[in-house]
Amino acid sequence: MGRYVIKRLLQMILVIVGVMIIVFVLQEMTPGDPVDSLLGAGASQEQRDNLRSELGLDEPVLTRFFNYIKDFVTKGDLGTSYTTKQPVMGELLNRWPVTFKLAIGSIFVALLVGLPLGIISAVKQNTIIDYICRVLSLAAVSMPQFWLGLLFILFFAMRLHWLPSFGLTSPLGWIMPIVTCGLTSSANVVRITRSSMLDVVRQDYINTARAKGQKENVIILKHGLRNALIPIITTVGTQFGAMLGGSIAIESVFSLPGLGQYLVTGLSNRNYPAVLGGVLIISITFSLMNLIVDLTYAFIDPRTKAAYERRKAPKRKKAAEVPSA
Amino acid sequence: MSKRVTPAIERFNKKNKGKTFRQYTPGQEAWMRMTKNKLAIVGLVVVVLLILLAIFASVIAPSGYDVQDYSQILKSPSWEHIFGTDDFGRDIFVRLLYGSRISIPVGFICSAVSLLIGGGLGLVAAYYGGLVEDIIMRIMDIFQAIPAMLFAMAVLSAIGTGVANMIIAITISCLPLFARITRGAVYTVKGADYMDASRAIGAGSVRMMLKHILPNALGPIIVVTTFSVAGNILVVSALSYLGVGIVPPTAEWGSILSAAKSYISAAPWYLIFPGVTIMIAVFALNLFGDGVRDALDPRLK
Repeated sequence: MGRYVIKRLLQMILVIVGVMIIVFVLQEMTPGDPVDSLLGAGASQEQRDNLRSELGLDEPVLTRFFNYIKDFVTKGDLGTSYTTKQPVMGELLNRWPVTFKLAIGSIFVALLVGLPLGIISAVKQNTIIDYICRVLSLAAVSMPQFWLGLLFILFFAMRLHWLPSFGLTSPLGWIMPIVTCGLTSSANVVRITRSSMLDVVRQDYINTARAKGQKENVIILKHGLRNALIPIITTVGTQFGAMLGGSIAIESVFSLPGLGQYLVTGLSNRNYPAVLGGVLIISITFSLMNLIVDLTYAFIDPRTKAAYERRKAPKRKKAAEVPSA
Repeated sequence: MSKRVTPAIERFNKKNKGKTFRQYTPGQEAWMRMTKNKLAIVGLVVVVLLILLAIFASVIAPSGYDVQDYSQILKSPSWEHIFGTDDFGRDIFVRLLYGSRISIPVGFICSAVSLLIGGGLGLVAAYYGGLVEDIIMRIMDIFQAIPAMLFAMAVLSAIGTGVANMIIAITISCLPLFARITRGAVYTVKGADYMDASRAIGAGSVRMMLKHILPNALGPIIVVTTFSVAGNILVVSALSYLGVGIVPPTAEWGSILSAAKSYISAAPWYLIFPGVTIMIAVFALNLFGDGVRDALDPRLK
């Protein structure tokens, strides 16, 4: 188990370095010069050269790349934002909680709505309730998330005046963004819960439990749901990643000061350090979340745990067999 | 080898004397299962209708998509403008009609190209295994560590906006999904006995991959492709909404919504109709996708 975690963390570092390479390549491809957008058209050549060396842009790409990694690893420094002249790390740490809270809140809403509906849908398969759940969840995944957000603003903020339409000036401001993200993902949770439960409900041990006279709700929740959880957790994990990406549009709809907004402005201003740092922190969050999801399997499913621990064992056995043969 | 006739077969033949039984290919069987699913057919019909509307947009539309009429600014729906007009006095119905000429083809093209490239990578990775597989899949891991939407945005800001660039950006962000699904599907058939058999009669690698592996691994790949078209249409609209995809004055569903944002309370129809249009298109594709999945995987029924 511990060996597996270390292996995964090493893999993660490779992936993160790869992500940085991709972002550097994309930035090299980006037309236009950040110096131009910072100084405006009227700047003299001397001013431009000065700024360029100040930002370290006069060095070759590879040097910049290795310096970037060195600074990040040794000092936790992600460079200075071109536009605000503040350390990118500080700006990111201010914004990261907004995006993270949004994602966690949405997952909570998604599970709260999705799990019960999915279970009911599976238990009452092919009834009118199942039908309504399926069509509604399909409709919810078919909606552009940002449009649902705008509709909420139209009804709950503009018409009914129940909630603020944007910003986080009061805690009420969280409700609409979280519900918007949560509802769209809950649709996916409903769909996967339903199909996973349907798979499990047909197993022999469910019949056994029924035959020995177990209560139906215990059968569904204890024998059924626990065994149906793995695909559901995988889906929630992937939803988390989709949320980090999807939150870009939602943050723009509700004007939330999160990573998504930061990246959008960074991309349009050619603010290289900001974009690089933002993509980096999102990828790290996402990869860590995937690792956590994989490790959760072991806690839910003893079989998976056994497989992690067995992984090394057969090889040793094989090696011992060879000389005797 | 002569056919052995058991008593059971004899009885069966006697009972069904004179009747002929048609043999169906797995594809035909899947199609028959799907046509029984009414919702899937509804989805298919709507998709075909939308494609026809997109093709004949210039014939159906009463005016061009960029005809501005300053006496008709932000008018609510009427017989003249059934979906109302926008902030430039343009007919919203006409703009949505022309918008389908971007969203729908882009959705399909992105899926097709990522199927070819991503699917090809997954197939090669699973077939050869070893170092080739490690290299391909590690690269896909890196691609997958960046959320698709963010990746597409970063690519778009590097290569510029426009339809062609949007296709490139979305395709790149879809590659890991297709590579992984194909690899998984190929793994399930790789160990089959007929694989050894065809290798024994001397089939080459390319022939093995295209003739023996691919057709048998196609089920999950088709399902993912169908759903990805729907997903791509949503991504296109989100990118345009954020202003990095298709930019005005070109009519695109997402960029229409982006403009509508400023008039939420003054002109709700401006916000509602484009969203409903996107939803209908994506919903229809998802219904069809559900049908395809049920048809190809009878276990789920």
